[in-house]
Amino acid sequence: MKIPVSVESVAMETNDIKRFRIKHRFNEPLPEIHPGAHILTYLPSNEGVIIRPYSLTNRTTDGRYEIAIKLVQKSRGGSFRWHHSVTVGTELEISFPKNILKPELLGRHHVFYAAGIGITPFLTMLHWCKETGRSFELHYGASIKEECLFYGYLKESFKSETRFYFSRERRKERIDYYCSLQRHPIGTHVYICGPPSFIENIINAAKNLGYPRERIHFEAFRSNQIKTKTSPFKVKIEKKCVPVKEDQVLLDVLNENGLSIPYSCRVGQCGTCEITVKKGDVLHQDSFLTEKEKLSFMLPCVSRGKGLIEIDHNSLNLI
Amino acid sequence: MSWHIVRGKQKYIILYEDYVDITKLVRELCFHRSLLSLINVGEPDQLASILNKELMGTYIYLSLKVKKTREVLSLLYDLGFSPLDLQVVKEESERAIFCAHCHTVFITDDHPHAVCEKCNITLSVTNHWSTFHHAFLGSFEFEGDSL
Amino acid sequence: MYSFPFPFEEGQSHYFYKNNAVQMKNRTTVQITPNYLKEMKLKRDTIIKNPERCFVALDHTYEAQWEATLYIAKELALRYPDTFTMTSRKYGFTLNNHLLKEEVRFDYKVNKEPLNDIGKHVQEDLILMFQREGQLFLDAGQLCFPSNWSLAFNKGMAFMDIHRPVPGFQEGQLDRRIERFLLHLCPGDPFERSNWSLMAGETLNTHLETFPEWGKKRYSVTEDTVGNYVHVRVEVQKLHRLPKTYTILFTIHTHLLSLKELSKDLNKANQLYTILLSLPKPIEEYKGITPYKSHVMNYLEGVL
Ligand code: HEM
Ligand code: FES
Repeated sequence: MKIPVSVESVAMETNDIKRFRIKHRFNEPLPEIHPGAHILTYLPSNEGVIIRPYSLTNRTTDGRYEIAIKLVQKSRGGSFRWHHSVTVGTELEISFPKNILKPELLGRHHVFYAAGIGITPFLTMLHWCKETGRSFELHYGASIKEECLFYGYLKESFKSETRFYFSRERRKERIDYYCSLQRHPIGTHVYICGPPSFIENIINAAKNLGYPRERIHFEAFRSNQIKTKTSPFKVKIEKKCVPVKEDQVLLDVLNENGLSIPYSCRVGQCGTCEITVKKGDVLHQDSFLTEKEKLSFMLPCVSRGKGLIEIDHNSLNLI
Repeated sequence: MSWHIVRGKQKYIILYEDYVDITKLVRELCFHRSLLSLINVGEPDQLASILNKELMGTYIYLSLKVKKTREVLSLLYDLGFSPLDLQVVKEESERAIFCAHCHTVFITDDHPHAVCEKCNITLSVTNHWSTFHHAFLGSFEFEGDSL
Repeated sequence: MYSFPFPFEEGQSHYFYKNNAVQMKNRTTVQITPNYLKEMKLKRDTIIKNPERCFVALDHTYEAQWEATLYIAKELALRYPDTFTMTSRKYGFTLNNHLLKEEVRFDYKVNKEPLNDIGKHVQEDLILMFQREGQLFLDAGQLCFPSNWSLAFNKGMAFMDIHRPVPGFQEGQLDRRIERFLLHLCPGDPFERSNWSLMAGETLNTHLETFPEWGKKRYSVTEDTVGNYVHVRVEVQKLHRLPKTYTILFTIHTHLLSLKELSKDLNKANQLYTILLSLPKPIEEYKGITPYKSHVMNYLEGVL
């Protein structure tokens, strides 16, 4: 289900990050949100609707949503559009708020590791922790203060829980994951958001220290999704053969061709869009399927085929 | 007694009480070059203040009688530990049973039938296990069912 | 208009397990049927007599209970405006139930068991599933019309453990796949499924706790009574992810229809007959049909 909304205000947060406030087009309050939630935005453009996921940085008490979008240099689609053609009054649609990075209700201690724009999904979680009296801490890495998103807000609201690390200030600092992870009390949950290498390093350190997998929560960096190089391929559904161009997403192509595959995260993390592959080589790009599952399934929101792949359209309604 | 070894932790703790033989478990855990600490569960209060200081990467084995196991588990869960942090060493000679009729949990020896301590109903012990109650469901014997 | 929710898919001729949950078009949690008054009385009597069998809630469930309560009340007022009106306040609301002629106040933190309170206005059983460390746990619920299970025992249990007694449920990792489907359920995109069984008698409140009382009826079915006495029992189950607490609200509406009534539609009688023929023995036993199955088969053959 999509919600009709319009942009209520736009603000420059840093040099390349804009903050947008969105309201329901008929002024109804937008649904309440779970800490860490994101929405999909459906932005109309000349080249069709651009679908992008963005973390909600806030839901105001009068039921508005806020998102922060970083302009990606190479971007041709999402962030470029948002930065250059969205103004107050722009109309678009959004999805219901969804969540991958769910905070752990009974977690004894919550530790957040963020790098750069990776801070965005944590804002609502930090707020929730504080408001409900939970024990938490934030480790936040950025290059310099001026580039540090929400610096002032974090400093003011979560002063004693936040530690900043600036890699290009005079006093250079980086998060020492290993050392930090070693100090958390048993029963701690960690949440990681940032670029892939950042996530990977922390996950590895945590695993080496004996953290159970279920205690490590992460979310892939959202605004920098365009894979460096993609190639076109073809997909066979029943008897029909459909081309997928290099800048198209398989999921969208399938849905445009009459399948109605449900989806949620669009970053290969939730498994909602899973389909069964009958034939062909798949280039898996997700962080959800196990190695064994990859032999027969794929997540078309991120993964692609090589040459020709055939999918089983009968399996779609069976979950 | 049975358990499985969870690898890759920084430290292992065995909580035990008198009369429970843990030598085999200790020997197996000594193989892993991690810290190993044995704690004789005396007063639960003291136990709480010790375990509260443990860090991530610690893993706890409970090798206790069923009654004590239930006590210590609820203490650990109250402290914020979860089943991911610990393992109960299975003791096959006794079992906790949840009475389907009156919800009392009682401990009996290993037998397919049990009589509820509180409501005196004869129950057949199922293999339906609750991690929450730390007990098996004791369900109804129904003569007709065996016809 | 009320019609009995026949549980089989068109053309289905044998029994098999799969995840039969489908996306729900009308996005509802509850339904008011002509049996409303009768069932509300039975529900409330059952709760008064044995509260510990009918309601459980762990400490951390309050916010979710409150969210579910609001969610259901809003739906009642929106879909049944002649029957329910809702007046909102800052920290609560008042629900006017015109069928029961009641005005009930709901106040945040004043109502200690909001789920139990709102449950007294709907025919559904209401279960809340909480996601913790990658699993779903039944940490709160109101259950008055179960088919032979105990809420008290299932309290705090994980989805997979709850379903352990269901024969064949682990095959092909069906339980894991269904759990994964549930973990990915999104707000605004509810699903529904139905579950069926047969039962001797017309009892809705068949708790495991009272099995000896109602279970013995399975042995008293005769050739003469089968048509009126044996009922098809259908549970319409709806699954909603609540947006604020991300809890799953699982509602169960139980419908009963006697074999005789069902057999007025020969196609349906025929489909039930074929499916019963293919029902694997362990499932037949699990559903408790075995003691009187031959009577049912004879009856349906007679009809057809
Ligand atoms: C998420 C909420 C759910 C809860 C709380 C729940 C709970 C239960 C319980 C308590 C039972 C009875 C077990 C016993 O005999 O002790 C049961 C049976 C069963 N459940 Fe679920 N369930 C849920 C969702 C589902 C879903 C999504 C499916 C399938 C897609 C499913 C399929 C079944 C089946 C096939 C049975 C056996 C029923 C029969 O054959 O009569 N359940 N469930
Ligand atoms: S939509 Fe989440 S994995 Fe594809």
